[in-house]
Amino acid sequence: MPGTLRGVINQRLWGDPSTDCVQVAFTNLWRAFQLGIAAGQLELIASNYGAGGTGFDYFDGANPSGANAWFVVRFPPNAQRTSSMYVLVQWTPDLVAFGTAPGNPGLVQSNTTDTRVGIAVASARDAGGADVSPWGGSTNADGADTKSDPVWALPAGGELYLFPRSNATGGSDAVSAQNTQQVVLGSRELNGHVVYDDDNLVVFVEDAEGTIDSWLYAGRLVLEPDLDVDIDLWCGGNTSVILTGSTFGDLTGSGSDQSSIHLPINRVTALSLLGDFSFPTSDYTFQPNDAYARAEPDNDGTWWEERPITIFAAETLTGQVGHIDMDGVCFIFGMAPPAVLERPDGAQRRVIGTASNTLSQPKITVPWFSGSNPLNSYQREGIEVEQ
Amino acid sequence: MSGTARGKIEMLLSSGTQAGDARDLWTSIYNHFVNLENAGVASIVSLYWGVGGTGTDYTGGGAPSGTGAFFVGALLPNANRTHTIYWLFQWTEDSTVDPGNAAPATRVGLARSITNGGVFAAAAVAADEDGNDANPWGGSTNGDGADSKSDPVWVTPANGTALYYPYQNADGGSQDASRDGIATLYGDGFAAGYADSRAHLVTDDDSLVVTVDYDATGTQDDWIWGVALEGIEPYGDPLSSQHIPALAFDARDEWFETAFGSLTGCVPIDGASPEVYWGGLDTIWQARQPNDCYATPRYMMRALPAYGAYDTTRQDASGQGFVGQTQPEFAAYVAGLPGADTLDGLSRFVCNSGAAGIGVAIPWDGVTVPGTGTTPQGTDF
Repeated sequence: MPGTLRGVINQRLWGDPSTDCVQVAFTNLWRAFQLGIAAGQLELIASNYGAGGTGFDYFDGANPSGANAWFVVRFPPNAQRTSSMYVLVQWTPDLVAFGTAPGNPGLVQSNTTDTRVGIAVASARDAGGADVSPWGGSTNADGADTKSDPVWALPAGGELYLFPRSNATGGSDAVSAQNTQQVVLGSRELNGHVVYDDDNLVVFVEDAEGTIDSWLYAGRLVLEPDLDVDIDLWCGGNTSVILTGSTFGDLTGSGSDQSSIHLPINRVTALSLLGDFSFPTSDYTFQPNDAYARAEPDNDGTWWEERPITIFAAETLTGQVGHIDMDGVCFIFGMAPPAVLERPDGAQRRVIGTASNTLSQPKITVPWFSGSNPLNSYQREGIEVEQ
Repeated sequence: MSGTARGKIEMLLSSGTQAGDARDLWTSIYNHFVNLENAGVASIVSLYWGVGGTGTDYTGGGAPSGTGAFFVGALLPNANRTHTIYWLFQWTEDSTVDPGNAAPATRVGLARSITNGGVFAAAAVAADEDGNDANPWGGSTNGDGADSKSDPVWVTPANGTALYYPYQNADGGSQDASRDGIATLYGDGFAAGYADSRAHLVTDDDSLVVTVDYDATGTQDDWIWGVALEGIEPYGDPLSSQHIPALAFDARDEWFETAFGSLTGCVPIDGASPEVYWGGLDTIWQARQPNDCYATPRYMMRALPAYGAYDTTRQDASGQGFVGQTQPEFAAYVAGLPGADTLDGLSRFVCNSGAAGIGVAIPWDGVTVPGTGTTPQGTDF
């Protein structure tokens, strides 16, 4: 796993009205990122407390955030990942349109619907190919920053990668690049989780049975050999199930699933497609992999194999561009949420998907923390973890 | 890829009879092992010239081999592999001849009949009770053309372990007693009768593949291979703690059927020889070839994941799962290319039994144009 794994897991996202649920989710995202910012793993670029907000406390704290509060954090590049990853998080309560001041311009799934948390991701290169900031707004990080319009800026002669895809050229939100992908809809009791390391960010929300409500991944794309791609990121999210075999996202940015990939050759952001790297026969015949158990009698015979999620360009160009870093999200068959598995190297992985779905349907796994029972210890503050 | 790729390619089998072509294919395989021996990566362990045979010449030569001729060639250990891989190759001129100890008693791998001659192969790897490299070959080792097999053909060291291909030779298999099961590489051709055939043999220090195009039209109809496997991150080598190296053996009469699995192949797990199943046939990936994300659209190559599993008739149904994947530099899964096509200049050759379905790319010499060979000796590289 690249770097320290941090996050806030097992959050109880609940509120009456549902505004409180969303505000808690937003606050927990802020708290989760604060762990990495304090450790120097992440950088806070900009922040706004929102309308009437005085801080990023919970709604009943001394300095809560207000409607359309937002912040931007940066995952700096490293030896593995050449591109900075700028992540914008924003929320709005019930009856307040997403994207109104001071969160303007802003959309969630290309709409102004309320009671939601949305996330956007961007990365840029200058004309010389150097990693530069795509953030166009102010950068005081004092709770009073403003967005620019467009929110994300294309460096002169350079390249810009945007998630959701609709923010980029040819998309419905290309003028202001203000769209975000919904990660929380505050309508009922939910369980929320935020985990990240140096290269990967995963946000997911489930119901009490472990059925996925929404998930979002942003992180390193392991490129195919010799493929000339400047920005090695893949971002995708969905408000329901894991999709394979169909284009993931749309140009309008309004669908429940969205994705973005940076293309070689024409250097634009495009839609992508998840491969179906399937297991043989009935998908989970070979799970768990007890060949390991036979070879190494000391293990407990419960090693489950994951598979990399292959990513294809699915717009102006078609073909495999790479696969998601296996330390990020992977496919898995034969397990149902909220199971936790352990890799042979001891790393923990959490299974997410649709709990009632058949085992032969693919699920995804995400980084997890040893000793963290996914079904216990739910509370509003969740559990802050560093490992 | 493990070490240097070497090959004997573009072998045109055109003796006029299937038996003669079987002899010639066997002779070329033998000669390739001699080349490997000269290169220091293999040795000839045992040699039988066959009934009436006087040597290892091709058909029409002064000292040709006779029916039932066999040799055992050993791929020697190297820096990456601690245990020797023993290959047995044998040919016959018909299905009924029983030249004493040399008969291929139980053939697997092809649906074709073997009434007019064939070429066959088996393999074994063994470790002693301490895990050290051991010799499973039970026959004589004079290498003088008069060697004989033992019964059983392969012998597991006392308190040791062994991998046997075909898997029926292993513990619990139907040929466990004599371990004389052997896989068919070349048998009767097509209903139309005899036709000239074309074959290619490629090895590196660990892996071997032989493929046969029965009517020399470009589609590879039958093949046999034993290929080294490698782990994938974050799992590494699932079999790293066992003594037998991670290998997969298989033979088919079609290059990668749409259904997974094989009744002829095997992989090592814990000193046993369960069947091999090939996975990773990604239909989305297949449909998007060539990949036009490259400035010059490129057909992609991908490793084939291997899964080990005992079939339901065996006593032990456990021990199944991912055991590694082919080294794509040696054997890579390709899609959308017809048989005998080439990739990366002439550095890869496409084995495919159909026009443009799923195939496997193997190393090629970078020079020879497929379909141009005119002799059974082929071209060495």
